[in-house]
Amino acid sequence: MGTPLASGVAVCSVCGEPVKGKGDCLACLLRTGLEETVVQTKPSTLAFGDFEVEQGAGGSYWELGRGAIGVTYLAADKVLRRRVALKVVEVPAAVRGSQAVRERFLREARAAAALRHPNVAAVFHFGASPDGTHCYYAMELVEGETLEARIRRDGPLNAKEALEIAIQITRALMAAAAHDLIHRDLKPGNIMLTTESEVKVIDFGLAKAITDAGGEMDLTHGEFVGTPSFASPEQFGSGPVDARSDIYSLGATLWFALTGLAPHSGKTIEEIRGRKTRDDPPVAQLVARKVPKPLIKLLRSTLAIDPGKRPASARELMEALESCRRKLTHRIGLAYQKPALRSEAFDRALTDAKAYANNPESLQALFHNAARKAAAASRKPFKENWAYLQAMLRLIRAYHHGEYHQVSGDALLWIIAALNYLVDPFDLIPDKTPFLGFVDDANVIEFVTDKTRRTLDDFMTWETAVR
Amino acid sequence: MILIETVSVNTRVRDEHGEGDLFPSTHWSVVLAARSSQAEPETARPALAELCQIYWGPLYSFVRSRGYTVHDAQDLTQSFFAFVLEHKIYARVDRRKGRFRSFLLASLKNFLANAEDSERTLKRGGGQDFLPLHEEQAEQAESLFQTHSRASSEDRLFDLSWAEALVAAGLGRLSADYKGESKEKLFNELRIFVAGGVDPLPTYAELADRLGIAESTLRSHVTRLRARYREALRAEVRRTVNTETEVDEELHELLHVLTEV
Repeated sequence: MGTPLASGVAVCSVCGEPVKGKGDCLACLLRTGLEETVVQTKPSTLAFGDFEVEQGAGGSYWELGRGAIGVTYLAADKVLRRRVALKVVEVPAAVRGSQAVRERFLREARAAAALRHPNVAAVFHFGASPDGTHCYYAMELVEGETLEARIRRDGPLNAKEALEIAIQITRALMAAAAHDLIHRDLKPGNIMLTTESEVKVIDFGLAKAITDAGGEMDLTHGEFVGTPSFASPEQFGSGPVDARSDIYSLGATLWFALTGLAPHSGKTIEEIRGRKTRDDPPVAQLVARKVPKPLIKLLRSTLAIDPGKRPASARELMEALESCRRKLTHRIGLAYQKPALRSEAFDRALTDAKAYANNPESLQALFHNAARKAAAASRKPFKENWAYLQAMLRLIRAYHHGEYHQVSGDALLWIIAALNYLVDPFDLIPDKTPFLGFVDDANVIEFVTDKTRRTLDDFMTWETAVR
Repeated sequence: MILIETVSVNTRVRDEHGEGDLFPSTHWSVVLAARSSQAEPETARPALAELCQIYWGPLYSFVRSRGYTVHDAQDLTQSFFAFVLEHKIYARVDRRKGRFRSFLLASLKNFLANAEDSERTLKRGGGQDFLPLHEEQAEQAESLFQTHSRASSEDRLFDLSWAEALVAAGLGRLSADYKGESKEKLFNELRIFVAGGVDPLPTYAELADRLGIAESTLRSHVTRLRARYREALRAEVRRTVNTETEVDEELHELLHVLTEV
């Protein structure tokens, strides 16, 4: 590089090397094999403290999310050599010099960083840029998607799934209560669902810090912090806000998970505030979605206009949620109890599986059958157990290497049965994992993760990376 | 629920055949290993033949650079392969420094020196039994030669042609994979992110819009494509070297040849 080129010589738009032949850049093609960064349309790095924002293949900064005030980037912690989610807030010019704003941000962030819980994305570090233009904090990088994204794509969840998520969020609220911390902006977009079906609440306790740093003072409503559709009625006023405000927002989030809608929507903040402070939640939406009665009752209480009528604390909410879960489990148990059918079907699967296990050809046929069933059902959400699927993948891989006989016999039977019942009418495969695998017509094993199709190799690469 | 003792399955597969090695039978090391074994022709010949097919172009280019006509160069290249097999040239390779590329170039130089001395070595069409020559392949080789004909030395021309054949094989393999997955269109749209070129890269936003997918999806497609290409390319290199370290060395060396002044 750096050689003066004769005029008229074609050069690569990416790396600047001369390009010959068909027009592909030989240098780019070789460099990729060495895993060097080839594409750098934006050579400058964006760094905050010890955190350097990562760049995508096209050279753009890698954004994980963008809100009204801040941008969240994928960044590398250069000291500890790990990846983090870095939230950066630009401080408006008007308050840039304000020591008070800076200190308020740091105080809020410090309080948030003290909170460590499996259901809360941990805050590792926070700071402000030396020139005072930006405040930032580095958070645990959570692999997965937000509850909002999940619902927008797959539609509302069933009561059991939604309840499980609400319970995990409530655990986070209980931990926060011990630190006297409130979230203030609990909403589906701040709930991450990990690839292992764990829930992690992000931006915990930071909503106010962000708002302070961003100088986002709503002129009509004073210091409004939050997202109107999921905010509690009291957040619209000037009175004090406590943990019961988060309980309201959790109720609204649970509502959204069950219906795909916020309980009170509107085109303007005024409109939303009017509804929230005046109307009861539109329970008809829940009834239409066949939400079980115990859950409707619980939602009514969490969404009460008067904070005094809501569960008084996260602990109290947890008791209510667990009681609700017990009732629902009982109901679901009754509704789905088909013991004869289930055991007959499963016995048949096991008998078949025994026959298949000794014959690679029928095993292949079985794969195909499972594949067809799975493909036919691939539009539906489908849950499998994570460990179960991993085992299945390894079996397939071993099978492809002619080594399936090295997998223990019992395990093989179970997995084959699972394959045969890949479309799982009897709830044979336990909940948890949002993966669906099938073999297509070209005999390529593919996995459908939500709407992303992955090949087996992609999946194995990803799995190895995760591990 | 633990169903299976699977932890070792992957590891075992990798350990036995080397990482990601799906083509042990066409590996240069198979050729090397076969030189002292009894089963040599059965394993070495097909392995060598496939490798030679891929790198026919660079060898032809080198012969052309010595001033031979198109037809003579074709014949000589074919004869060279026949000669390599007939005389088991590969049996003399020092295993410690046995890269396929250097082996072929050194052997070719020797062969040409002898051919210039003695017309009898030039058996017209002598290599056909071993390696049939297709018209398309011959044309591609000639175009490869023309592309690099102004290289500063014949060795450099050979290495550049080699690099070209190598990345073409990697891209070809990847393209076939995408095609097999009915993602040919996606591959064609995204290959610029791997192959670069004169045209500026499209922005993610405009390409995502054109393909009707989310920008984040596009990003992950690109990341995946690059990772897959990287593996495909390295797999090709792996076929011509002995160890994993040599894969990096080979790529570095070719890149160095390409970018040197």
